[in-house]
Amino acid sequence: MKDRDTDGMTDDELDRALASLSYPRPRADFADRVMARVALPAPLAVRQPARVPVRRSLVPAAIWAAAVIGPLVASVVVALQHWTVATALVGGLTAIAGQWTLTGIKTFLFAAMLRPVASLLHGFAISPAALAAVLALGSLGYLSGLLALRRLMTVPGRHVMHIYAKLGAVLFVILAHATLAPSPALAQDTVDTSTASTSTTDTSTADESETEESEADDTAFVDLSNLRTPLVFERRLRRITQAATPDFATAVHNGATRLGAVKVAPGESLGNNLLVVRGNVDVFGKVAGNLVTLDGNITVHPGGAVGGDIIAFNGTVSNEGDISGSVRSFGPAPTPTPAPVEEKPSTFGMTGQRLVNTIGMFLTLMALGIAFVQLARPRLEITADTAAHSFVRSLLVGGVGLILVLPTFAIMVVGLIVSIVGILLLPFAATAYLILLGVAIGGGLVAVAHSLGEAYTRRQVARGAATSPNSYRSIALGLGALALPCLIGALFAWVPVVGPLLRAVAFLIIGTALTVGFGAMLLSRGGKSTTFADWSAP
Amino acid sequence: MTRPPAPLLLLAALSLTASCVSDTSPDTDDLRSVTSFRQWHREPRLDARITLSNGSLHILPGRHDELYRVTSEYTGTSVPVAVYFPERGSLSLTKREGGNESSADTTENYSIRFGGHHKASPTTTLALSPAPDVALQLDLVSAQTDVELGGLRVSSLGVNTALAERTTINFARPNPIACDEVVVTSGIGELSLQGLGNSRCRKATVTSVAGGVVLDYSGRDSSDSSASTSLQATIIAGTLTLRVPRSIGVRLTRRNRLLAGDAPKGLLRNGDAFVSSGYEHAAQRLDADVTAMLGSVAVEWINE
Repeated sequence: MKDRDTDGMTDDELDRALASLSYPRPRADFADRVMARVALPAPLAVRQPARVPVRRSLVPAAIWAAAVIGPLVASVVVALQHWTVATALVGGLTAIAGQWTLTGIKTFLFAAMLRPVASLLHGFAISPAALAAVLALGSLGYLSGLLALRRLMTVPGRHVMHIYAKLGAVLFVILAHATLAPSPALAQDTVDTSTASTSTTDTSTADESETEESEADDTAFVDLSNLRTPLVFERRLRRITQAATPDFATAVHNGATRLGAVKVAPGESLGNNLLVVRGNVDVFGKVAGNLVTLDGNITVHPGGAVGGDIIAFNGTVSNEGDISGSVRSFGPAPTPTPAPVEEKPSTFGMTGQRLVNTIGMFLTLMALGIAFVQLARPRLEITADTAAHSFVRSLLVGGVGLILVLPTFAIMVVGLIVSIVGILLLPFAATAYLILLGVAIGGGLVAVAHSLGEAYTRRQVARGAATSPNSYRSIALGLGALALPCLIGALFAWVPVVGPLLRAVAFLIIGTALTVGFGAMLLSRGGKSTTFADWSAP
Repeated sequence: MTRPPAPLLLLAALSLTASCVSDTSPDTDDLRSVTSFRQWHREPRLDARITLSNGSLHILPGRHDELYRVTSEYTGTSVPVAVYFPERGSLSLTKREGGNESSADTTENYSIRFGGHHKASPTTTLALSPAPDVALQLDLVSAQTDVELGGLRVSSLGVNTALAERTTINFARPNPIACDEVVVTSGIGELSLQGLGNSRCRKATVTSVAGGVVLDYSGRDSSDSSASTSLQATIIAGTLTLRVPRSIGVRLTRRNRLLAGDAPKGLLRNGDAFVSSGYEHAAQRLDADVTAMLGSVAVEWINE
């Protein structure tokens, strides 16, 4: 029995009808025209660029809001129930924050006012011309930075490439000159030596500077003609006297040494410097040079005279005669209290601590990344693409941007203070600036991680791996890649030479990623502009 | 007993950690006494510049035969800086300490410089000889300072306080010589200059950022009964209080930039200025020119 379809035609009849139809003969460019209208997804693409922000459903937003608002409300409720404890804690934290702020201000002012900068500031204060010149130079440098940033953040034309080439040539010439020119440090050494030799002869200079600690302290002799650094002098002297048989003849230069009490009788005159160890000195006559005692008092009686400086270590000085130089007396040295023996953590413990710190840091970044994906996914993707496609430019922009961060903050603060009314806005403006900076740096780092993870996923897709590409996975993969050198550095930090080297490499990688991310944030204007993201126009 | 909830425990742990981290209280056990002095060799003048970050500072007249005597306590590892230039200073020390290089090169210059920055809060006492003319410059960050200059031959006085909570400078006795100028810059603390009538300073320049400045003009300038004193003050957000004996005529010119207080008590408006009654006939006068941003100016009258 022959099959019949619904129109009553048998299969044979259908075949004949089809055979009677004319055979289609497309024109020669038919295939090209068809393919021109077909858009095939790129084989390696795992996501389409979100040129238009994706309209999210309300459900995730509601979940996110509940996740944020819920704990806040719960915290408020708990705080109200334990109002006394909460207020005490808030008060304590506020006091601590205030203390830290005050300490920061004090430190800043101290660094600005009392350190060697003080002489510079003093010079500026008394010389308006110098101040104006420095301000002009500073402004010029800042404006140059801004112009460089602006240039870097615009699409380069051909002439810009020429400028880059010229700049590169100039830098090369400067570097070559600096490399081939004689080191200025050598010349400075010569100057310092001459200065030191000059100042050594000046025995009237008293006391010491804070740089004394940096002086060589392991010298096996003391020079009685040079008392400029008394604490170093004392340490050396005590080291010498602690020897079983002190050899003062070779250990004490430019002067005589006496052990035990010494009396310079009336009419007696000592023409040189004198060191007295473990004994008092009574001067009725004359000591022409410096007089130093270790563990002994000095008394210059009426009619007695000392022509140089006097120092008494662990002793006192009383004067009824004539002392030409400066006098210093140091009380007993503080008894070194034995430091509490702190149990040094084992290598295993320290390594574990470092690993936990590193993992904690990257988990925090992961949480930040999740928040970015939830709240600003399109911007994150644009920033990630900017970092990937304009890596060098992002690095340069990030570097310049990081340099300009502090001057910009300072200018903002000074501007608000100068405007008087703006003083009230200062705390808010400073806080907002710091928050924006944190978001830019943190978001940039997450965007770089996203870019790294996505690149890896693309390669996996190209190899035919069945993956489920999404932003969370990309960020996790990228952060894992960034964490890897840090974990290795933390794991082998205890190894000499190699450990610090590995940590330096990890620091370099993270620093580069951070700079690139910050630059990408700036280039993409916070993820709004696709100019440097290499997104082809539709 | 109700157990505190976990969030509060976490906050408590954080605050405890923070307080432990921020605890930098000094350990006074490791302080070492240091005394430094110099015999007076008829030096005609002394240029004393005091720079101190913290601790407490006392300055007072010392022995006639000692140019200066510094007594201080410092930690054994931290080093006080006290440099004396009898005729010409060491160039490197002068640069490092921010001294006045040009004046240090002159043979007529004598100066003391000392300072330091320490965790501990040392007490420093500086006794100055009443014999030479003294030019005193105080740069204080947060040190508490009491200065008694009565009887010293003060040729000039400069005071800079940044965060110092309290600074008191007193002229209990008349200055034997005329003082060129008092220049005061106050940060956020309280600064009090008392007995300015004894200082024989003809001019005072005061800048106050956010603190309180008290200028007490009590005391007598016996050398010139018809002396006139000028005051140039800029008050940004602080307060300036003038304590003036009733025998002194006061003329106050005040420029209010923003928000400033009312007319000073006891002064009458006369054109652009406020004038005390009897100003024209007063033997001693105070002419004050005050620019106030957000700060206020007050006059307190005292009976002598």
